[in-house]
Amino acid sequence: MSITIALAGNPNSGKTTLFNDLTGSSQYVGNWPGVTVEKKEGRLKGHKDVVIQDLPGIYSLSPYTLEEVVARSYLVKEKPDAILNIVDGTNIERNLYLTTQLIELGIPVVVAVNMMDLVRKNGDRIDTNKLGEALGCKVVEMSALKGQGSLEAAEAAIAAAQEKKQGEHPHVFTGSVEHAIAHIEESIQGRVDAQVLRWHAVKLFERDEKELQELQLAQDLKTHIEQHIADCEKELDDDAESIITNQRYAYISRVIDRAVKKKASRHALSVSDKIDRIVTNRILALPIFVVVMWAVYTIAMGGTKVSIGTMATDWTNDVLVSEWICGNLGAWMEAIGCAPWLTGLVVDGIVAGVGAVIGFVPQMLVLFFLLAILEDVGYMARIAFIMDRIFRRFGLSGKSFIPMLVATGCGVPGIMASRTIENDRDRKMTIMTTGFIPCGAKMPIIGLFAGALFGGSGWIATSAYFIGVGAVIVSGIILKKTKLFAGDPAPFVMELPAYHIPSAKNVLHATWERGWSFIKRAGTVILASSVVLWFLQGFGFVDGVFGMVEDNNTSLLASVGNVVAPVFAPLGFGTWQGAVATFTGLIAKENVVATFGVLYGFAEVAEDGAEIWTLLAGDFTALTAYSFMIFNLLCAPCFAAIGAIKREMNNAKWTWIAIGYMCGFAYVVAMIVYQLGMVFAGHFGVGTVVALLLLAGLVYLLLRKNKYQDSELRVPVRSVAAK
Amino acid sequence: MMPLTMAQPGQTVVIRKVTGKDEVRQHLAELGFVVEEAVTVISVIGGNLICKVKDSRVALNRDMACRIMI
Amino acid sequence: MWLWLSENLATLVGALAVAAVLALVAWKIVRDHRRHKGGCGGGCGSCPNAGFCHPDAQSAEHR
Repeated sequence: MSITIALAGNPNSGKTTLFNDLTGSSQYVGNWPGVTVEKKEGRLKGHKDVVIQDLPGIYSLSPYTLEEVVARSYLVKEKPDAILNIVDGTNIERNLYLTTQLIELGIPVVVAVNMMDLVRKNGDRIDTNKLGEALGCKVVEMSALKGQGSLEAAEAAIAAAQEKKQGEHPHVFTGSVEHAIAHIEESIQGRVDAQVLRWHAVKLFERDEKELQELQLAQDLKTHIEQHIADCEKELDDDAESIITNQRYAYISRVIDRAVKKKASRHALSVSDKIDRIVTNRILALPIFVVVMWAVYTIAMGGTKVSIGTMATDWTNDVLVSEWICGNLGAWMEAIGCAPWLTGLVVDGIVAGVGAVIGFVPQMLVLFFLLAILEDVGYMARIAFIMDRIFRRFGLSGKSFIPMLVATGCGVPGIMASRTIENDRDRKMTIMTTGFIPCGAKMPIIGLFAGALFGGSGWIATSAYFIGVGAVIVSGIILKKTKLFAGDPAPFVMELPAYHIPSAKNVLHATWERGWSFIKRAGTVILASSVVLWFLQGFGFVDGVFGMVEDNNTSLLASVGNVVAPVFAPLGFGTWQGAVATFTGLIAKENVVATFGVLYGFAEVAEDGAEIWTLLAGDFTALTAYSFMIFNLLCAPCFAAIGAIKREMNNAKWTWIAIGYMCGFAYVVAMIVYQLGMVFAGHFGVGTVVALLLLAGLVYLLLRKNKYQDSELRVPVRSVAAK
Repeated sequence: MMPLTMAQPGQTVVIRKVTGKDEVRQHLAELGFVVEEAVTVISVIGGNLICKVKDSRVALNRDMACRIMI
Repeated sequence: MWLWLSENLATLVGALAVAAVLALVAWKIVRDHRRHKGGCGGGCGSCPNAGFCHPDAQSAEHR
């Protein structure tokens, strides 16, 4: 007979770390709320019949956020055999708020006080026995990060489940409140399990909407209960929900007094706070953010002495691919007598395409590593908060920025992350613009051009990132002024975890996961695409005869490409190669690089391995390269991401709107950049006029009055105190 | 009484009232923003602020912070 | 015929090898698609947003 133990607790309390410990799996431990939005299951190590359920982090069992609804439905409907409640020892007062609610459910609860190592370091003391006595359940100590106490906590939960003894309900509520609740309990007796009677009664007292919905009580019963509640409210001069909340906190205070001794003054600023003073300082916050991102992209992809990413990539391209593989493989295949077409397919097709992409793996690994550190340290959560101020200006909240943080790895989970945004319009807008942020797959495009035409400068990658962010902001401003998207932004409330030294395990794991998926895609999708591309660019009609062609400008691919290429002429890259590369990017963004690899003969054995750079530089100038990059950065994402958009929008019309918008925006911006750039080179023509008109149009859309904004007078209140 | 947005960074204040009667206010309460609770303001940026309440660090935007009266 | 075979053995073997690789790739892509996996290519076990790619009927509730 299997036992189910549910893990419940506040966000950032260490639940998922505990879950990993107990089940041996390697679920990711994120650092901001919303990381776990569904329940995850696993088997307890060493116990075949014990199932552990990880629930989303919640502050309470009220029905206000997605996470709370998921957790609450699970606990009430599926009634696990025991609840292991993780409580953050450094933050115990607020954490116990949930505990009081969990105990009311009537399911055996074991409280595990986590982060005991930090508690001791702070000099505080928690008496788990006294705590357990006061709460009416067993309390154990734990330090999930250090791996201490996890199994003991699970064992305690199993024991509690087997005893099936409900803890005695502690006396949380006093006087008239308790009185009213007792009345309600009587009224609904028989309609719900005795086990959960108390919980339902308290919820009804709070006038919990979901409760009322689900219980479907008769009208006269409802009136009767309402009477009790109203009496209580009148007596205590407060509304029901507040009464309950305050009484819970009062109870918790009493418990804390008995069992917890704090050393430091609660109001002293901790190290994390001091860091926050600087990092979120109103003047320094954004510059610090720019510098941090610049550092990340420069170390990963720049051309400086500390750019380990680029150095490793150069070695990979020059030595590994060009010399070892291309040179030797080509020679070997000829030596054993392979037909030239096969050699061509393998060396100029597969190796060229895949090799071009694989060459970037070192840069990607370094990039993913640095981003993972930023995440793990806790900095990313602060970014969402900092960006909230900017986002709010045009009607979005900082919550919309979190998907964009995720999208720097891969756009697909970024788009999915928009699910936490409750406001429908904001969510749609976030989905539409998350694709602007450069994902891991788009970075090789940037890296390739940075190397070929910009001397490997780290600024290219940094500017690409901020162009993405800029595109989001500009889109936000423009769209919020249209009828489709107008509306006030959601409020922003977010708990910020303390900064901590990044955990090597987490960071390395996250880096490896993303890096490996990059490599896997190179070996599958890119490989297949490269083969197809090789055929199409290696065969064509010469003088009416179909066969292999020497010069790929006469190939099938070129013929098709040349039909489409004119579309991109106003943007500066009206070559068939550019057009084809852009289209292959739809399959996977890395394909753009792979395509160039195949088309420009990456596999040509060269002494310096930089031959592709020279050829690229022949077909692109710095300006056209930048315009090309911008277009590919901003236009429709890969099929996988488009699929994600479709799933999230759940609506064909909106999916097309999203894709259309992204392509249109990309086209306009790239055109403006190219045409106006050409002005500096002395060219002034029809294109320039069009570009200027478009630019004027953009500026108008940005600056026009928002007729959908609230007509209340908005008096900007400057905080008098804030310096 | 004045809203929390008027507090100075570094200052510790006591909450006297949380306005509004909706789910957002309940959410604030569950995070620890209740009457008689002490709040320490860590950082203010354009009206949005980070503050410490019941030992935890919470970021609020200005609209929310305005509803907390000290 | 044997002469042709022996002359082109290397090519045949090579071509078969390439075909095998391509078949493997195709199969993997189809399999991932059927299982609704990937997209980003990574395994969902360690993706920070695993909750998003595999929604439950419950968590898909929109308020």
